[in-house]
Amino acid sequence: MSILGPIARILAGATRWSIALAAAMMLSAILYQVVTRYLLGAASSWSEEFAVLMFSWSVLAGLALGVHEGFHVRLSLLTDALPLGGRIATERILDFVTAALGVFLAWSGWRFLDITSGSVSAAMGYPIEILNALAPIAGALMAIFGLERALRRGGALPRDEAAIE
Amino acid sequence: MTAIAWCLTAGFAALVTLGVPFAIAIALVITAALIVADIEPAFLAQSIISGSQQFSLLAIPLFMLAGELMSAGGLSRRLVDFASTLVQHLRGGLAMVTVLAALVFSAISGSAPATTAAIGAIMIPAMVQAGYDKGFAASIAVSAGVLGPLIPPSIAFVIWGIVAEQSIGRLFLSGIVPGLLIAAGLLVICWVHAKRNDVPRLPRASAADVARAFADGRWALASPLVVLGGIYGGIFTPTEAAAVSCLYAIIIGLFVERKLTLRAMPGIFVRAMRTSAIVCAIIAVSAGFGILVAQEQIAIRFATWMAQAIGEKWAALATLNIAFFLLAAVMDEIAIMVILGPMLMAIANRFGVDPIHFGAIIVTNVAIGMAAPPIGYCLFIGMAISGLSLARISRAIWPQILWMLVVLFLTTYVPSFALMLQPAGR
Repeated sequence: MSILGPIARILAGATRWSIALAAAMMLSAILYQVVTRYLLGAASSWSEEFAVLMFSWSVLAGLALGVHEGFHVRLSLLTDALPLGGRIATERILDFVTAALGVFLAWSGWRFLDITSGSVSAAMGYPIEILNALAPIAGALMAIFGLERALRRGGALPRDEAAIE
Repeated sequence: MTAIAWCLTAGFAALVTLGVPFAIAIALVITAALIVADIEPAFLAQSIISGSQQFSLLAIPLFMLAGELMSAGGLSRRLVDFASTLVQHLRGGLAMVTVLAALVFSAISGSAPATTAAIGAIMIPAMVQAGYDKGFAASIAVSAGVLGPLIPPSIAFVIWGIVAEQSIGRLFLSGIVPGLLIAAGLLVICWVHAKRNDVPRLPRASAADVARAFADGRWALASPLVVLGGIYGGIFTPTEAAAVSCLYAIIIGLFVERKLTLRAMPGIFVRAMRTSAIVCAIIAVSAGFGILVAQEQIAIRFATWMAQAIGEKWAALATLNIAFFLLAAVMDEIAIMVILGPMLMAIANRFGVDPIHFGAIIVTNVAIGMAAPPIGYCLFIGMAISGLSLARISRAIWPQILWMLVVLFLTTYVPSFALMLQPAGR
């Protein structure tokens, strides 16, 4: 399973940069919308839809990236009270459950993609598969990130605690 | 209760207690509900995607980005320098600078932790150097962060506006008076602390110094005008104002202050988007949760039960405030707003509370939760900057929290505090 670590790291790096890029595109599209409305006198027909598409990716990819980086907020009072061995075991179980959720989301997204295929978006007319594919992609990433954490040697404790060890 | 209702209530509580992150726990209980009720599995993906397809939500990452860009571009330093020249000679002056600079920064950023981070990073070391107790210095930066969500623009009000289907612009206005009241109380606390501990005063800045600091800080001081003037002048939507404020921060940071570099930009974007993802992931997955809660009529049933059990409006609001404060001690404030939003709105409607006034009550609660021990984003930032323990900051922060609770009481029972700045004719 040692191959999973580097794969997860590469995917996480790519996800991180894709989110930053999505933010830049989102920002540009909204600024373009303001400019067209005031300077050109006609609001852009596609900017809002494009910006929201970029946002959807940032949210879904962020959901998956949060699994890899462990940044999602949680209540850790109970797990913190456990001895180290118990904590590692609990974290491992939670990571497996998260990976299973990723698999379900990927499957759920795949079905949704299938059900809605052939439609186009309202304003830009892009194939709706572009938007709806984001869910299975995020699910797959979440499954890989969750599995990698679960199988990480010594367990995957939150970053600051891992540093203390 | 039906099997779905059990999943959504007891199942969610169990997962969160076991340490499952809120966003993941919400998605897991939706999945469980789909399985037990034999609902089409595509519902999960569909609800998350539709939950993320809302233009108003884009204000969240963009206001976070604006805050990051302003800090990196040196604008928060300018705000501090200008506030310094105005009040540094007063008793507790340097602590007051923290509050005033946070007040102006709040009119740019809209996020509590961003406000504590931007101002605290400069002011906590400065206060300690000037002879303030470190615990007090950190606690005042943490409590000044509370102004972030109350003074417009505000990420918390954006979220509540979407959850409660209310005008975000009007909600923004409802937080100003509670925010200013909290700021005024914090200034008094600074004065009392400095007098009691005999913290040395700094010399009064000359008129020339004030003028110079104002000139140096003019771009930072003008940014609230760009954001708020744009929104209330009817020029931009809140989301567009957030984008314009990012552009403003980039231009000033790159070409005027010259503290921002193109090379630093990707890192700033990644940081802002990571913070935003924490909040937005919870909101997006909660969309499906909300649909199931509505289908099961959990919110309405609970509101009806509460109306029968409590009866009086004042008692219902008191109960809500106490419950929110206690819940915020163990749960993320944004998650409370999003998950319990439908139920809270059902209760407000049941008791005839004005929705804008109710929004102000909720967001004041959210803001206080950011600074109140044992968990709160501002507290964590304050601990990280000062290196102090939670216990040490908690001991120093109680007068501020007490004052905030007084303001919450006033906001709850004097509706005009939230409504006095509303445009005529609503």
